[in-house]
Amino acid sequence: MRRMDVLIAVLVRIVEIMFFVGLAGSAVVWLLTTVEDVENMFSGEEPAGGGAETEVHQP
Amino acid sequence: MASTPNQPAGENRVRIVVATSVMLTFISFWRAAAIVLNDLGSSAFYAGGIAEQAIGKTAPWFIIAVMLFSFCVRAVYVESCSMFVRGGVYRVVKEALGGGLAKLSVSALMFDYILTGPISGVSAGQYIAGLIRELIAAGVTHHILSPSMLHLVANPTTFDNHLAVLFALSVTIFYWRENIKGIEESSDKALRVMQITTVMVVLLIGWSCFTLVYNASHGNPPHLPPLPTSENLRFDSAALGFLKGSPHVQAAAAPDAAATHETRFNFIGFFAMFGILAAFGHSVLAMSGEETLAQVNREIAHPKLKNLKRAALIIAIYSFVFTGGATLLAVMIIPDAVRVPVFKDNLIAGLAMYQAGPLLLKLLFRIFVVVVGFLILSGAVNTAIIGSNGVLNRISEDGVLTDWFRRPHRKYGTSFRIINMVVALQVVTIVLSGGDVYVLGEAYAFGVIWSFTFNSLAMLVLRFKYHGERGWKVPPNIRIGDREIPIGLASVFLVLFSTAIVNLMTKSVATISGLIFSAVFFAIFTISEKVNMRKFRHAEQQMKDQFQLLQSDTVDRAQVGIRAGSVLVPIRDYNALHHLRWVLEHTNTDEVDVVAMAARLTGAGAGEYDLSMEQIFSDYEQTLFTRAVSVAEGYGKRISLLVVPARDVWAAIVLTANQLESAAVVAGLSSKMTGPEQAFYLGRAWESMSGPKRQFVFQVVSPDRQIQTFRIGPHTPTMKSEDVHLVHRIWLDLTRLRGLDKLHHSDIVTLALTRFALEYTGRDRDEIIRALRKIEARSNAEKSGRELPPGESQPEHREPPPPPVTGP
Repeated sequence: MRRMDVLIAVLVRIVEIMFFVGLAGSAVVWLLTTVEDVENMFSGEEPAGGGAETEVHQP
Repeated sequence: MASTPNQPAGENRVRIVVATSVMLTFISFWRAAAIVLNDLGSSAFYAGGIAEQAIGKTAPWFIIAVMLFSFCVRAVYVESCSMFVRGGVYRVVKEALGGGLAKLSVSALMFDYILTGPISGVSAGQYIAGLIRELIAAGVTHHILSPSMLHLVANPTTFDNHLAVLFALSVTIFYWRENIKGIEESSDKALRVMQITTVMVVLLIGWSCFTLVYNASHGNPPHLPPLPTSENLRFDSAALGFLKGSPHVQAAAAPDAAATHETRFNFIGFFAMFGILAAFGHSVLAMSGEETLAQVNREIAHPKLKNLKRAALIIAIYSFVFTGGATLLAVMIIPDAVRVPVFKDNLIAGLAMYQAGPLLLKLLFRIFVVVVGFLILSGAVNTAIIGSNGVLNRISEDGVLTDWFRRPHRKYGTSFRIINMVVALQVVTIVLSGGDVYVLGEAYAFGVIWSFTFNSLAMLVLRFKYHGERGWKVPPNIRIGDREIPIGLASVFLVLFSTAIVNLMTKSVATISGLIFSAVFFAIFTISEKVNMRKFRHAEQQMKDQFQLLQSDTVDRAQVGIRAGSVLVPIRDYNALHHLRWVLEHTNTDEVDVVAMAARLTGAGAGEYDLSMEQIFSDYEQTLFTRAVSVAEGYGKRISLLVVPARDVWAAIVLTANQLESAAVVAGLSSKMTGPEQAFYLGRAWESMSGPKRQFVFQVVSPDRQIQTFRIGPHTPTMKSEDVHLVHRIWLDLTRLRGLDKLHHSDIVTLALTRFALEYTGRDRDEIIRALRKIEARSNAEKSGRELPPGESQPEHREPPPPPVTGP
């Protein structure tokens, strides 16, 4: 039983580490992609707006 | 023997050109964003309430964190879409991790799709029920209604839940019927719904800000929710899942405990930090709907990647402001005493009722919120049916589901068996839920998180497995020697994977129902695939004996082996080939080629992958073409055969006719619309097509051989004999004048048209329109009771006919 508790504790800590390390990396992803997207949004090239409408049909 | 003109000598098989590029028209990034937001935005109506029930008053911070994190999930989807035009879960996972895990991931995705319908329907029902109760109470207070009416709503929870179930069932059955008939889902509708929703969001946020200032000036300063620390978390007992009763959990007093009368719990000691993960996991359903981005990618106009990123940014910002903002403002404005107990299932309606202002105005705004909720949530019910149908169609096309599922409806041509199965599962889910949004939300999160996790894992694996060029990569990436380390992608995967693991422990309903559902679907897929493989080997042999499939990226005359001026005959139902018979009776195929074309409709919401040749030319197409060839053989004439994948049958027909330089398109009369209506849709598709465009004649053949003829594209109008005589009389009169003896009839028409155009663009426009309306009314009155005779022209653009279509 004691061994099981230790195992669960280790697993929980691993999951926590994965989550917070991932969260830190995701913050960087967020920053870089948002800056890039905002630049892209207002870049010179004309967006293909007002294009033909697509009618979506089911098979 | 029916064959193409360039059939190799001695070759007995019929040659069929199978185009693998889908005939598409394209949409702007605004329209693409609107389609995705119709799915993603709908979660704003229930995600906040569910999260607060599960984790307490800190919920808005976690919803905001999830919405910020959704920017990163969106980045993973953008990378997958830059690699595969259809970068959905199935395609990506299959490519990276193989068929087994792809089937598993698609089972989770199906769980997500199946639950989207019930949760959206039940949530819309809760908003409507809440409004009805409020109106009854207001009516009784103001002596408009009898106090006996209050008995109807004596037990609010029972009333709300029963009405929500009833409403959800009604909406689901309504959309089931529409989908069986072949509903048309246009980006126009999505854009309009989002425009109305935006008005509501602006009003909601603007009015809420005013209320916060107003409350502060009246001695009630706004308070932000408690910070998202482990001590401030207050879990509902149901939100502990399998950890309920564990020594790592203890009862904790909630700030709103007096209002809820419920015991709340918190993780303690070694598990304290684990509580943060659990709270995040209970909020992930706020970003459900991201998968739709992969589905619309294919239709986004050039420059595709740039527009995809623009659409993704709009989606992320909009959902962050709407879902995150509404949840935060709800906690700051709605008092603790009523927020969860009364408005847990209709949080935005509660926000409307606690704004500063007169009651009537607040009630009107609440009605507006309910109308918007009805529109967007009902739309999500439909999206769920279309999405599930699309995914299962894709799976079926890949041989994972047997063709039995995909057999088209006899009358409407839709994959009715798949739709029936999906809707049956949704109806069972709605009834089992008993109208409880919280239970549905808890289960829903399983599909959402696992489909994201599989997708990000697959993308991570592909970084090492596939070294070719990509349109875009999730940053940052660090290069060590020859190896590139995808830091960003790995980070997103870690968050998703750890959250998915935590959810397995803390969401018992989701884990049990999700695992059972996924296991059942996985088993169905695996068994079906095995059955299909055996069947496929047999079919492949048959196909080899009878047909020679020639794969081609594009459709052109050289590929099909025909001359210009051919007759294109769209065929769909092998029991309705009367129009092909009519064409063969009236065409000398030595002079004019006849092309029988089957548009292989690829499903909406199916954003999975490109089709391979065998998938496009399935059992059904084989039967269809066998019948077509046998009809041609009966007449001793030859036809060419063509299969074209398409999202829109009308666009496919006009694009193919244009590329083959066909002079005529001959279709059978649709069971759902009249000949002029068919011509209207074909004309509209022709107008949407980019140039150079060729005109052609469109003929509709009814089973009793009545023919209606239309000209598609600009053409010489059919002139009435009295008009021809009028031009001739004027010409006679004018040519008597000196210097006008060389005048032509066409000069008179040119001058008349030029003057007409001048008057039309000038002051006389209204008068001209009135006069034309009179002519139109007279013409309609004359035509009523008789069909258009063959050869008579029909204007391409008339008032839109009412029913949507799936095919001619």
